[in-house]
Amino acid sequence: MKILLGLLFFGLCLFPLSLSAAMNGGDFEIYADTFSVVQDQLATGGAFTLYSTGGDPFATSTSGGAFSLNGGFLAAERSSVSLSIEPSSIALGQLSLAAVSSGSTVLHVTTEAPTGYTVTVSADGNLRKGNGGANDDLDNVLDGAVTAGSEEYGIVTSGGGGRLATDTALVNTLTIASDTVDVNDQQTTVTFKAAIGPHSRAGNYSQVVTFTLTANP
Amino acid sequence: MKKIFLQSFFVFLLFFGVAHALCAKALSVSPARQTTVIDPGKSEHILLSVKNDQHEPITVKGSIEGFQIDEKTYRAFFGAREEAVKWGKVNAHEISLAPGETKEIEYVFTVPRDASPGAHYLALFAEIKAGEGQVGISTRVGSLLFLYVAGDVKESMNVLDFSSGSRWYSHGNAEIFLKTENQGTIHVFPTGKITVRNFRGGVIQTFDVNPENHLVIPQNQWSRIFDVQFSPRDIGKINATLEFTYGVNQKMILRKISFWYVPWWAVGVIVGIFILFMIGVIKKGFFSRVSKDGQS
Repeated sequence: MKILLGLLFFGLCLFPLSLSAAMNGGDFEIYADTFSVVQDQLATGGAFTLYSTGGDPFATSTSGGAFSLNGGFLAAERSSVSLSIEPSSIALGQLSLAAVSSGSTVLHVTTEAPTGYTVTVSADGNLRKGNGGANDDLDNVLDGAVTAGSEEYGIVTSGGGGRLATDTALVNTLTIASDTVDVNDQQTTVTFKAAIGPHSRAGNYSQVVTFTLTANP
Repeated sequence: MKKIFLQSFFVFLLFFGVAHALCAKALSVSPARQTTVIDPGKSEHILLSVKNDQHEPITVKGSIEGFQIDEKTYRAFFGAREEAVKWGKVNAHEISLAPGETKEIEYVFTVPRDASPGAHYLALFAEIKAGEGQVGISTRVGSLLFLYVAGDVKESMNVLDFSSGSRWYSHGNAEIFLKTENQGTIHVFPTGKITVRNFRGGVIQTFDVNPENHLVIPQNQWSRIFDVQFSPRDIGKINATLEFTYGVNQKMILRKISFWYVPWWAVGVIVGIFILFMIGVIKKGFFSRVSKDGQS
């Protein structure tokens, strides 16, 4: 019995749930149909069940208190992550020297994952026209504020799990929204801002951005 | 009547047009996190359930990326180098989903025969292509997969730094730094505590090392800063003890450091007392000499 409890404890440690949550009946389960042979039920507790396969448990205690993992173990958290983005494109309109142009979209995030979530944004390049040479894209904002009359482009968030308090350049991958607990329809507004300067070139500028949502590890 | 009908029809068209232009991209995947152990030379089929939450049909593309954990924010970041990405393939590159429909994307991972035991960190993504527009938006939702190659597990954490910012503090707070590194082949959840005591052994403060229960993946460093608050009764030598535990066997690492808390006003009191004492000694010596001179 002690060995089984020890193996159960180790199996729970494999899964990236907090130990306290798992021991209190965290929500994960086995995809039983992935096993070719399901043998004795090792242990049950709360919202989880562990099975062995083909006679070998998923973990074996070796000498010196070390452990060895055996193949065939599969566990999944009983949770989902959901992202809704409305609208699905941004229209900044015709840019002018006199004002900053902006457009917003709202992220709706729902997840039961106890570690919460993170949404990042990345772009396929600068906001650009044509192939986007050095003079054919809008410069990224550097001072925290997109200003009329100065060629600048950036994004800012508000509400919900927003993480960008000031106008921020869309370079590399940015974390724009997150939380450390499960959420239900947490809404974050993402605003894209653009301004042109006296030397900005005329043309149709465009860009593709990707919002990525996952639970936190 | 005809006029009312036409007006209603045009209002409907306008509403439909606006609604279409403002349509949402909505996608759900489950499970949010999953884990598997695969023998070298064997394969495992991992399923990702994908649901179209919007009112239009969509086409979803599956993909695989590795992830690391940011050592400062503890969030996953993707596109990291991860050899296990090459072990996986998506059986159906694109699937079509009607509004409200749920389907599964199947990912197959085949571990090479010569793969070493250890953990690999992957994300299984479902992505909707970008919509048309000045700034087109693409939606991508992923499930985190913790993949282990079967074999011996090595759990090993090393405390790289346990120190204080200074040997002497004159103000009412101090900082204690803790920096660790996972040198094993599997992620761990550090636990333990830091106990800060004054020179009389009284407990000033106790800190939980990892109250948020962050996990530390192999080759990652994990660090924290603890802020200690003193009171006047803590003046003197301060001792801080780290009891750091990790892993299935709760391996423990013990560390101790010491520093001093002596505020400026206490220094002033001590100096003042010393000066008064010296004045007293000098006076006693002077009067003693005068008395001897008088007698002689």
